Amino acid sequence: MPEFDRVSGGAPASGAVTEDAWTFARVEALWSRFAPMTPYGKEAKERRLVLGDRPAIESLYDATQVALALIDSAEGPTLDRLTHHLKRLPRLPIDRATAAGGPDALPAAKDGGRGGSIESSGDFDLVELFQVKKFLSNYRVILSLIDEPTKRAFGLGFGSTELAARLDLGGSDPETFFIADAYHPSLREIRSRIAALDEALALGRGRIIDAARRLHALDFAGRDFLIVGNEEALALVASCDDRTGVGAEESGARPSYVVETYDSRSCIVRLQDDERTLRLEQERSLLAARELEAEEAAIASLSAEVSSESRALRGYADAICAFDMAFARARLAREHALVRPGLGSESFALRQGRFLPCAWDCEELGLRYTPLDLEVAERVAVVFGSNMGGKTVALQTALFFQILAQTGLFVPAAGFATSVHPRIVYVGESADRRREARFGEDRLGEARLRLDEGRGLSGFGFEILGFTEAVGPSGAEFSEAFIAFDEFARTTGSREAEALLSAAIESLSRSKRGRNLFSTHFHGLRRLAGVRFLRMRGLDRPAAREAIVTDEPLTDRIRKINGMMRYEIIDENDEAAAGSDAIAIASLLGLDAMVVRRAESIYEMGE
Amino acid sequence: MRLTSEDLLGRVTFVTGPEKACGKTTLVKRLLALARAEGERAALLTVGFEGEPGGRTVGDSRRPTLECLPGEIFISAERYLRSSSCLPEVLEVLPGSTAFGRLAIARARRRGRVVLVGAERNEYAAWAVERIRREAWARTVLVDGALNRITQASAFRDARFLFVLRLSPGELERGLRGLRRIHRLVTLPVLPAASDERSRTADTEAARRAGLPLPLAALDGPLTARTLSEIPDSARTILVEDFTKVFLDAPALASLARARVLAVRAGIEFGGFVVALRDLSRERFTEALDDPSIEDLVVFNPGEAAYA
Repeated sequence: MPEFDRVSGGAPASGAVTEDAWTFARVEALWSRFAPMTPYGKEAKERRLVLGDRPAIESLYDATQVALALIDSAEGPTLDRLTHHLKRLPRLPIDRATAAGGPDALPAAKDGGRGGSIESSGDFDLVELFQVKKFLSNYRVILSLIDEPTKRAFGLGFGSTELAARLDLGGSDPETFFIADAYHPSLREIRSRIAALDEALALGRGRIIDAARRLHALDFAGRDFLIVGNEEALALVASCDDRTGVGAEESGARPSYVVETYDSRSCIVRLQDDERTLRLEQERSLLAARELEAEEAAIASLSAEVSSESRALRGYADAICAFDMAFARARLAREHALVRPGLGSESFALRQGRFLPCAWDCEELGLRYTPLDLEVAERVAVVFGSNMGGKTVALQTALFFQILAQTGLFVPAAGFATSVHPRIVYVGESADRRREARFGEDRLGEARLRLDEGRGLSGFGFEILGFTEAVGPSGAEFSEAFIAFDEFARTTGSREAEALLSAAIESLSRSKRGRNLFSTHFHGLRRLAGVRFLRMRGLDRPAAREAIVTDEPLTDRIRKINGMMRYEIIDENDEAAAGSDAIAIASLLGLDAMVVRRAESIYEMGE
Repeated sequence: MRLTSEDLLGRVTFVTGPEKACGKTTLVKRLLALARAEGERAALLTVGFEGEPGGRTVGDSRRPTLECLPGEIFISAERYLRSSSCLPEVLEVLPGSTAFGRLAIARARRRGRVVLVGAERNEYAAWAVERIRREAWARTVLVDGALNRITQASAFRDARFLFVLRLSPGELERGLRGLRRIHRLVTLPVLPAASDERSRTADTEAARRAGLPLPLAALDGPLTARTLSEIPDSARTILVEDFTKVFLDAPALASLARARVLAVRAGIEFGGFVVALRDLSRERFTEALDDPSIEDLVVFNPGEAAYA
């Protein structure tokens, strides 16, 4: 299918994830490289479905592993052919799948499907029969390229030999279709008579054209009409029997013309069919009508055969959709060294996790990227860090991995263990902005209720709404969601913010199944038992002091500061992170030395 | 200038014109005959107007038809395929759908008449052309279509277009204005891309290299009298996607050309004007046109008698 048939990235994420979480975690950057090839796979991909059901996810992982085994065992040319035929597989003219729910299930047809079911929608048309034939042709080749274990795993079987053989009769190759003579007992005879008539007609017209050239020096080859001067036109008419333009016929070789005015100086002259030609044309029309009748009977008969195979056809489409998705997941896994996540863990444990969107950015900017290690057994973890220290990226990384795992994709890490959550949510500034914009849109529309609900809300109000929606109606203690809170309570004063944050964390820490990650720069939070307090390692201050000279150009200093950030998560009390990155950065950016020294002194007293 | 098969074979040729019934289909038939004379089996498409004269309603028996020879490729809707007399073989289905239903690329298996139906979106037509050539169903493609639908021509290597118009004394001045306007548009400078990147810096760099005056204003979307008025007076070069995005009449275009340079990102090769004169002599046309550089690009009266 064409470029524009590919997933555009416009559809919202669905299932267990909020659109804000999908966006914040930059999942689309990897998702856009996930490339199923059949129309079914492309549509399934477009749903961006995130599952909340562990067995369903595990079965997707199993399918990916089967596809990986196929990739490892098959030879390159076989895989190339497989790809070629998956790309050529068209959508069947059926409305929807029998299976539903999972991301690999056949989605509802958009423009290619029929209004009703395959059994009830009557005859197929010529184009639809072509689609069935092309599907079966490619499907059979795909099957021939896949080993038995893979076929068994995906239910890729074939039992429609008779239908395929019938459809193969019509077409000059396996991927084209026309109503062949073999489809109806009278077609061969009708068509051979039409062919004979066509030959006679072509011969007759050829003779007339030759005669026009010979007798009147007019060349009608490849032309419906000619424009000639009035005098020539008059001469032509004079050479005919009467002024209507119908000339005498002499053994079929004398042309007759129809003459009409073009402008005041010239006329349009057309060759007129002679009586014999008209007779042949009439005969051909009668035969064409009979041919059409026979073709329609053939189409009805073929349609009945396709309908009787509808259940099997649906099965093939279901199976190929699941295979296409798994094959695409497996290719993605190979291309980016992805591993299978473990889903039964009580902890969130990420080893050498590569947040690929960020790693690609770093590569483009010539910066070093540090993979993330993070292990959290507690229900709540808080990550402190200075500005530019990477705490938001750490939060994005965690969310990225959790979402990927629940889409059924493998993940870019040395190891990843987590649990499955019914909802994955992001609470932070960009989500609040979207929420606020929606209220704005509602103001323009007719949603009076929502208008009243949102009127007068400040940024803080939207933050609180975000929190309430995230933990769900049962409240924080009963939340089972995976929630990433980026700088929650940033819109209020620090004392109130620390109180709110502390209370929220306390409440969420009592949940039995949720997982909550906070990034914040409010260090005055209550240090609660059962909550993990972490911090970004931040700036490698000794190295930075050595490498950065304050009279260097600002852009060079910023680049060096970024290069000396250590994007690692360590325990809050780790000695390695003592001191203030913010003051060090301010110094490197050229803040007055006296102010810096005083700030360091005040900070140390505070600590 | 003459129409020759050399200009057609192995290329995509768009036949376009200013309005309905200006002779596009007649010219397509003429070009098809030239290709056939060389033993070429071309592909025929239409884009733009849904129904030429007499074809306003679906199923209208007056809807224009073309005669195809065995092996020629065309695009039509299923309903017309079924009633076509050329025993069509379906090769591919186009994405999307039209008011006439789904469209298919088909091959004539015997001589017979077909109805061409155009894709409703430019990119679908472009996709069909690309597919026809990639699958080697035909290497020569003739497209009958409206001027505002030829944007996709720039996407094809070796694509070009012909502009057809019919002139009579009462329409001479208006027709010549249109002809000069098209000539001005097809000779706009093409800004060679400095890189794949589309940014102000990249555009400015490309303009500098091309020797165009700066500063440059790049416009995404149509250039109309209104959008032109919003471009700062300081901009010396105005850059648009291609000439089909220019919606200024001939005087406005001439006025713009006096003060600034109008440039395009994508050029579309121009094959010439095909002019059918009614009650007008060539001499009168030439005198009124008074521009030998344009006259060199004109083919007169393709329907005029070719005497043996």
